[in-house]
Amino acid sequence: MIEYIKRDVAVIGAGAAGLFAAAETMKGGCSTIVIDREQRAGGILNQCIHNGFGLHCFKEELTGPEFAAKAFELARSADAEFRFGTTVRSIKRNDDGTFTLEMLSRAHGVTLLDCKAVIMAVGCRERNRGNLAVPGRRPAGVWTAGTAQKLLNIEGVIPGKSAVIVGSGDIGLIMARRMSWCGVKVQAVIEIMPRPSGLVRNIAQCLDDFNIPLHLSHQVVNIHGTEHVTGVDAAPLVDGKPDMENIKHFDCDTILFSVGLVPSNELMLPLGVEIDPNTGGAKVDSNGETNVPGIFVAGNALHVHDLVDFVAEEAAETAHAVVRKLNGTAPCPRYAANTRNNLRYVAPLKFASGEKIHFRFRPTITCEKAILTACDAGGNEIKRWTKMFVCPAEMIQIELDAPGSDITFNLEEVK
Amino acid sequence: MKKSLICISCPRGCHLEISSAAAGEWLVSGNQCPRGKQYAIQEATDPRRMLTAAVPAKVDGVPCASVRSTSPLPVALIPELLNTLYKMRLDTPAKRGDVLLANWKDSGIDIIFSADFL
Amino acid sequence: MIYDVAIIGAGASGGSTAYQLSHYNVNAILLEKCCDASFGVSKANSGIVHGGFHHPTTSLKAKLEVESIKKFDALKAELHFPFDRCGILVAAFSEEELDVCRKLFEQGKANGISNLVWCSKEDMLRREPKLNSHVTGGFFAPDGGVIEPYAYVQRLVESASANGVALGFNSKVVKGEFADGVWNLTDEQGSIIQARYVVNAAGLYADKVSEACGAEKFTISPRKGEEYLLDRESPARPNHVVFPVPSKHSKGVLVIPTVGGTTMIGPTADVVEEKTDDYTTAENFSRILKLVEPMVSGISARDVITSFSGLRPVILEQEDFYIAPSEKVANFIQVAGIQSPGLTASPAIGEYVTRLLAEAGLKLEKRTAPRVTLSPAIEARKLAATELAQLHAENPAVTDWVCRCEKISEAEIVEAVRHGHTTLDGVKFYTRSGMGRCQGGFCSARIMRIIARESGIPLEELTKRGGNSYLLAGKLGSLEVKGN
Repeated sequence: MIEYIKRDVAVIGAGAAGLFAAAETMKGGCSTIVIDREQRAGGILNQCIHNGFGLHCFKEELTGPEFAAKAFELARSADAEFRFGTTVRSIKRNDDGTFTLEMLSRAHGVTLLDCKAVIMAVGCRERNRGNLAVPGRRPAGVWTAGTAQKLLNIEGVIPGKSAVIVGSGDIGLIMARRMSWCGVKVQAVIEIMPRPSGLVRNIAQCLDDFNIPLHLSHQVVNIHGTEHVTGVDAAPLVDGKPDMENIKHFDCDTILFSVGLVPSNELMLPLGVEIDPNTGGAKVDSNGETNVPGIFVAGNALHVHDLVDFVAEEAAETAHAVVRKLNGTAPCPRYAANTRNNLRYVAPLKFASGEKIHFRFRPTITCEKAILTACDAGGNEIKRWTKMFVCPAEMIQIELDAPGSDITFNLEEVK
Repeated sequence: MKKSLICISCPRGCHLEISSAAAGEWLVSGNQCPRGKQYAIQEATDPRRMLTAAVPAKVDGVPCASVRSTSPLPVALIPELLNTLYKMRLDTPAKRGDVLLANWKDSGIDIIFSADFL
Repeated sequence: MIYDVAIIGAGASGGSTAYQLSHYNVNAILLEKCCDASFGVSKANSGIVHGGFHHPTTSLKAKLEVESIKKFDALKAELHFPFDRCGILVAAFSEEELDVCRKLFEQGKANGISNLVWCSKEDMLRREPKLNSHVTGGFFAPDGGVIEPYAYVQRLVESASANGVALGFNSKVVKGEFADGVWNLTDEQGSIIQARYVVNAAGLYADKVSEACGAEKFTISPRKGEEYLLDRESPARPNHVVFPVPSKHSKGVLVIPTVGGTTMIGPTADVVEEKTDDYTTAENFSRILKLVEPMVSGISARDVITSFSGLRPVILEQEDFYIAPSEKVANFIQVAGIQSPGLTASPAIGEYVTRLLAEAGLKLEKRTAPRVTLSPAIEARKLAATELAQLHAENPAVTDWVCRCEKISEAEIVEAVRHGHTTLDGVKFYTRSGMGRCQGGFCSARIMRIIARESGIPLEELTKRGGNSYLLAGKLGSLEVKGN
């Protein structure tokens, strides 16, 4: 038996983005169903048992599960409906502009859900050893940092006794501390860039506290071990190339890769959603809407954030736009946002004038102080912001009264 | 004596500098909020860290529970606390916020559940 | 118990021989040093059913390859492994290459492949728009295709087992003595397996097994092939297997639309020293990219999702298969040097070995018992909503998705474990779980839990592929936390 249901809004993913979005669409009077693969709300937050979440959203420092519980409470108290243990297999856009989601679950089998709008809050995935084509062998003991985090914090098992972490992204750093706190000897963190890619405070509290060496400008050039990992080789980069004469060898039985996150876009591609190559996520306008009317994206599925609080804020804004869209009161974003120097991307890429809009950027430079400017189509500066401690690990977010003109954002270091 | 450190109070990670001015007085720079100053002095006198952990459970299908300290703990107390937590085999339901270990080593700090357990 | 036949090696050759023997009243045992079928040479190859044109007409390779090619449809219908006869294109990119192509084409015809189609540049581009427009011509081999080698071997072995062949995994034969008409094979654990006939299909270690049994001395040299797998969204995926013009030692570096929906580029062909040398290297990755980029458009290093290498068991100075009764010891059939097109030729290899066994005196009598057939594996991803809804009523796990990238349900994982695949790789090869873009990042923990639950093996004792390949070091708390 196929189950048929109908709601105004489908939110896919019950992580921070999905929960905040659902709370807001419900408050806006749209019946909302939140669908998640896992058996509970919170998504990846549940395995992030460390603290450091929620200072903006809840004005207190929370662990991941605590943030998840509070966000779940927001959505639940707004009467959002939940379907857990449920996978959306496909999304069909109907001729009348509505959507039909094919949902699979152990509890209900196949469910077809009709809705007017879909908020993609599906998060991101980790890049892995395979994505980087890291040379070497394929023994047991090679994991992504996130998988190891799940094994330790959810499954209660330890992947190895001595580990090397590849990549200094936040998850890798957090895992260096977690592994140390589980009695695992973390031999080193290897980072290909000349600077750590995670937040500085995580270098301090996750590596320095445990005397874990961070090898910057080093590339993993080999993985050893017939059945199980026995070690890893890293070479210093000289002029961007590994110097094979000066290889450092690390004995270890586990290698964790923390080499970046990529927005999940599998459900969007078949719908014809356009992807921004700079983020790996969809191109959206200031309503959070993609080129496919009715398909909205928020959170890490749009671009990878470093703070869950910004994920939540962005998702709530998108939810407001969804409500206005369904009420027929949403503005029409027609102006383009562009970037010039030192910014990897801007989201959204199109905006409506006369609105207060948050623009979010990822800088490509690291510096103590920088100036971000917004110029209109005529090259006139509309506004400028001074930013301290700019680095690629930290997203920049600004608010702007959007003008009736295309904007170009530019970031320059102040010496 | 001048020491530079990175503030871990929030994700901003301010680069702090601390030096002792006189006995019991400290000069802190680089902080963008009062918490930064507080952190620098704390780190110079009595370093503490928030502790979070997974604690093994003895329940089918629920391998562990997640817990946290109610406030930052003296760093020296952490290893023994972790070993104590890992020896536990939880099997009684608990709510988020329930106390698992009260006043650890007379620190005045409790270990509480950070998520509902069972 | 004295078996009639002991087959050493559960790869494509050994598996096919076991499958053939299961049609007769023969007590056979299939011995394998690894914990699952296809874990040796067979798991890591290009997964191609070749077109019958690569090998000289007089070679055993060509004979067995050509005999086999047509058999895969019937085998697929019976054993239900992923196989798609998508066709092969051999593409030339210069006039010199076109000459070599012509020779291959003629060789194929001489080998008895009558449906090869010679193609002009335009024909090639019409058949395969992904080809680079610099192509000068080539030919089309409609019988060629793609296959999942591990699934094929696993199903061969499963069928053999269901029809009476005993399986002995984790059994590495280290000694063999023939006395009073019986082979006494000793494995590493000291177990003795007795059989009247021995088939040495030990792949890379066929030389060691031969030596341990006092048979011919020869050397198997591993010739490594590195392969790189591209995401299923890669724009490079062609509709056919695209071959370049071959070199002396290999069929060249190809672009393969895998039967699973991804795209594979490779393999290299380099003789290496060690039989365990499965390293991939940055140099070979660039080499492969350099070779395939001019062939097919849309190939990008950014689309790589994983890489691996396989070792071809080569007897140097003899490019042909070595399949023959031993001339030194009795009742011993050598099935060695089974490099490419070994997988393609495997159906005929099994038949050929069976004939050799008969010629050596093994009594072959068709089994009269009705054959136990295999049911097709559940493939929830291929089922429509209505079919899934129906199936859900009897098996709710079929709508419980575990591997999001390859869309594998819990029902499929459970089925794999119930068929004896209790390692992460074993389940992966049986179901495709973990083969997609996240490479098991999201699903490994859950699959491990399902394996533990279904097999009764504690989570901490699970392995990636048997032996010492433990996935975990212990439970939380098994290591002491020390202060700084």
